[in-house]
Amino acid sequence: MSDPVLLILAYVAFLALTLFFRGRALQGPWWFLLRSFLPNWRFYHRVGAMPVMLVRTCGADGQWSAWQGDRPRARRALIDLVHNPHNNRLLLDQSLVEHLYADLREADNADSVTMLVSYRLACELARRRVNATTPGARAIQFEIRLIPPYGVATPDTAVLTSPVLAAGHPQPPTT
Amino acid sequence: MTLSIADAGQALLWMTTISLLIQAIEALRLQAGSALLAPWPWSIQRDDLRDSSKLVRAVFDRLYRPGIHRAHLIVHMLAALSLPWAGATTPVAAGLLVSQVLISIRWRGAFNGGSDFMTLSVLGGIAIAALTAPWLGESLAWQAGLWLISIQALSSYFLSGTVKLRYAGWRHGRALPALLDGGLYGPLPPTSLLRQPVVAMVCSWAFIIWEAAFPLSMIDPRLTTLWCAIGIAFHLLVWWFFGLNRFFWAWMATFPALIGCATLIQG
Repeated sequence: MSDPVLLILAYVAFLALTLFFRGRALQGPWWFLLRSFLPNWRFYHRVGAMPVMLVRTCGADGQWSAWQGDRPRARRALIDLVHNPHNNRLLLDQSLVEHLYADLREADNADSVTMLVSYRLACELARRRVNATTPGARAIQFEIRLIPPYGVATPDTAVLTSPVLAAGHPQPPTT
Repeated sequence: MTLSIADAGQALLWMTTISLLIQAIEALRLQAGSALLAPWPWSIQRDDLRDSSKLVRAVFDRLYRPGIHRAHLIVHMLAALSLPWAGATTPVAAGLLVSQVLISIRWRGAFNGGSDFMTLSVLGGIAIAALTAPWLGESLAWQAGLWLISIQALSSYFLSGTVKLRYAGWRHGRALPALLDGGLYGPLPPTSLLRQPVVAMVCSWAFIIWEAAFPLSMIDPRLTTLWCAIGIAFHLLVWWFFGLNRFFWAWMATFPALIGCATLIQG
């Protein structure tokens, strides 16, 4: 057997071992911001619970709407293969919801949740969604619910219900 | 198909340019878009840096002002465009790597998950080649860069494939339709063939075997080329169901490196 083939086999064996031994997760703000240097290459490896954001609005008459929202959905177009900003933005917002869910699992108490960057950005996302669809809303509230594996999200899968938030104008996208 | 190191390097630069331009044009479109598209407010996001020094925060505050960030993206595009024409010079290659990291940080570390990882890996390989060329010589430096990219690409396929073997849902074919139902362009039509358990299981195993066997395809460049051709179809399907267009281009950029390294192995 030639040297390169042996090297490839050794490399494959090493990778296979990494499937069974996982080191401790690196934590810290800069590890998070520079995580693109530390890929784990485990894409869609299982069907897990998926957190999604639902939003409801309160109109001028004081009536609350039903909760609305689901996993991100879009219509496919061929141009999306080379230019897909809208849909990539939807996926990015879903990532934010997933980061918030991960932060919630690690949060010490309810007070600390409201200080989280992911929570505050989620408030902003909820406001932006409402302003785009229901410009006359006076107040909003959002919920993070889990879609169980092979299931659907229901009110009893809520992991976070925000306080009532002023609909207002979202913060401008500047510093 | 075989590729010399020089040809693989040139093809890599072309594919990287295409991938970077697609990403930067999308980022510019988001900047110019409605509130729903615009980047998250930096006034909130800057708290990710609350433990950093005042100087670091001041630098990022300035860097992510909309006008400066827009100019940054345009310079990033121009640098990417120069790659196939002027070659990977040290300032451009290192600059693109740093610039890509800074763009990622504006999106809290990653805009589009795995595609950001792979784009950084490719830029890292190009930077290694450019930085080491004066000492190692062009050929050896490019071999180092192409191998770095190949190892990341092979790891991505091998790990992504074999990790699925650990889950009964994948082994039995139940996971595939469930994940496709959750895709951006989902759910699958009720009459989709992929809802048939046998079809789903065969497709699942075909993907798992193809991904897990990718490192072994390196023993012959013809085999690597075949595996890459299947890869084009695979990544098109990922885009078709999940809308992940950036993944398609980020992984396409690694294929010249894979074929170039397989050619090298064969001698």
